[in-house]
Amino acid sequence: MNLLSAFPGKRYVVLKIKDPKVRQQADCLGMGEGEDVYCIARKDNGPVILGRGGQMVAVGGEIARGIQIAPWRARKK
Amino acid sequence: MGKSVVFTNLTRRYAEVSNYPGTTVEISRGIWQGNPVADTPGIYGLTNANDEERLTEALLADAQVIVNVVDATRLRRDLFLTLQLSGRGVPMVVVVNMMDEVRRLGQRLDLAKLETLLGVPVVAATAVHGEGMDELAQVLGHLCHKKKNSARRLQDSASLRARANEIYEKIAAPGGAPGLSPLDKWLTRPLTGLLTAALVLAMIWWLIGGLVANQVVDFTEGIVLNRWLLPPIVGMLLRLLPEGLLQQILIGDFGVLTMALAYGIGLLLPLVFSFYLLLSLLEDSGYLPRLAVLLDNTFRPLGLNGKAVIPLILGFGCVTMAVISTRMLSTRRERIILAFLLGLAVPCSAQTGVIAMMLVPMGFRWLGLYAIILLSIFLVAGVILNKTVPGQSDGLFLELPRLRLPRPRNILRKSWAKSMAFLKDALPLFALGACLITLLNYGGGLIALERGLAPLTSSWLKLPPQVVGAFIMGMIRRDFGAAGLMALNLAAPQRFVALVTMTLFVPCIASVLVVIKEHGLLIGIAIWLSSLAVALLIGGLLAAAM
Repeated sequence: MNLLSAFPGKRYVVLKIKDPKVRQQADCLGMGEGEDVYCIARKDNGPVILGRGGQMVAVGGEIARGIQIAPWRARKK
Repeated sequence: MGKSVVFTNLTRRYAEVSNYPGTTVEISRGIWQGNPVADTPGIYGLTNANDEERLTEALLADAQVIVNVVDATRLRRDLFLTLQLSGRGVPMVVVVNMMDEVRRLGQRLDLAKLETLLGVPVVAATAVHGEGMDELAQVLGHLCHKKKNSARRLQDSASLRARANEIYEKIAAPGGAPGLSPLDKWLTRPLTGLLTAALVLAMIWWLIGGLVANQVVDFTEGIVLNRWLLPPIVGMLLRLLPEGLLQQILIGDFGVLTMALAYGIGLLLPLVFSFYLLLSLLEDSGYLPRLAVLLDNTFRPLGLNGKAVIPLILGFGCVTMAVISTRMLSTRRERIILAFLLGLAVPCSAQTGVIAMMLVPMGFRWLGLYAIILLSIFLVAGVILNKTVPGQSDGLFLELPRLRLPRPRNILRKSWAKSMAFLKDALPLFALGACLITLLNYGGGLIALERGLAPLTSSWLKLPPQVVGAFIMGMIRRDFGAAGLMALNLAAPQRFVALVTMTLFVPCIASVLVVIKEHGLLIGIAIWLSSLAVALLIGGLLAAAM
């Protein structure tokens, strides 16, 4: 599933970020591949607001479509 | 992060501070105990991804000591860059800033352990209150005598991030699930967010377009410059200089003193300073990134992302300032698209005032039609630019800072520093523009232009020949041109055609000069010519339809 399918309040693991520039930015911010993040708010076509700790990042629709995520619990199994 | 506050504390030189990523776009330099200090742009990593990171890389190559200022409430994020920096072999101190926030939030950070894990000194600080600055000075005193080690080979970004997370988990207690505060929810939900945005916009319009453009500018331009300062200077120069070109260049209708200085200091400085006061309030509160989130989808068909809303808002006050503030957009393509749109379809506050004075008495129908035509041209031009300007626009990927109350002292210092920087940049360009126009006028070029343009305005726009004078003035400043239309006795449809044409007409000299400075001569000419073509085309079509 991509980031646009995330539900606000749920926790997810970032599996894959398509755009290399965004992938690097996300790594710097601590929300890159392999990280678990909360979906704080989402509009249907973006932006999606992600949170981790005290941090929040807004991701526009086009970028969000290129970010693959999985529910956090599913990954723990 | 507070890096610019630390810089100011160390050097006593002001560096711009905002609650918004990318505040430091130029390097501030100062001296601490005889040692040169540079304030780099705020970055989260060294990935060579943008101008800020490249600029920081260049500075780091010569650095003897690194003062790495990190945000205590975002420590997990900032440990990534910290690890990158620690691998460079340059003596480094980590300043964990905003410790007051950590205490307020009831969080705990084991900074002694962090020092051990990183192998570099760590200083706890709250730089805005000066806390930790003495300790930093002591540590810096030791580090200045330390030699550089050889740089280590850096790990890839995923491994660095894993290591940063590992360190963070050892020094910090796990936090709960993050969430939006009620105010955040209010600002980012469509209905309440748009309502707030409309209120903020109305407040900016009222303060800049109403209060500053009328009351303050009337005082600075009308009284301070035109009554107190310029008359004695002009009188003296009239006595000293013989009639001729030099006199015209200095004190003629388009003179360096009578036009460039009057525009720069009398008209623009109060506008610029008040823009910066308001922008600083919005920046420091953390509101602007919320507005960018709210309007992101609206700007996508125009090849822009939500961040474009900020220069656009400023454009309704002053297009020149708005073009400068397009720097906050991340790609040159986006900056060019927005500069085109600002130059074409966004009237500045002074022009809006004149237009409102002329349209409102004609009735709501004309006012509504005017707004619809302008909005349609803005959107169509944006879509066309999106399809024609080469390159790719970036999507929105924006860290949202905490919402907080702005500090008045910082607002004033920042607005003043930016206004002075504006004057330093703009005044020489204004003087150059004034010289060029005077030369044209002196050679009879302006009158020839008026005659040459008369057939176009009369036959195509169906306006009386006298409007040529107003349009020539509009080439210098559109609000002057619009004011010139007020003196003409035009029928309602003619008045409407003239106002729409004048709104879309070429951007004022100051805007074009700033566009040339930011994007080069070619783009400046392209914006100027396309605005002229669109204005005449739409004006002619409207004249035919009326």
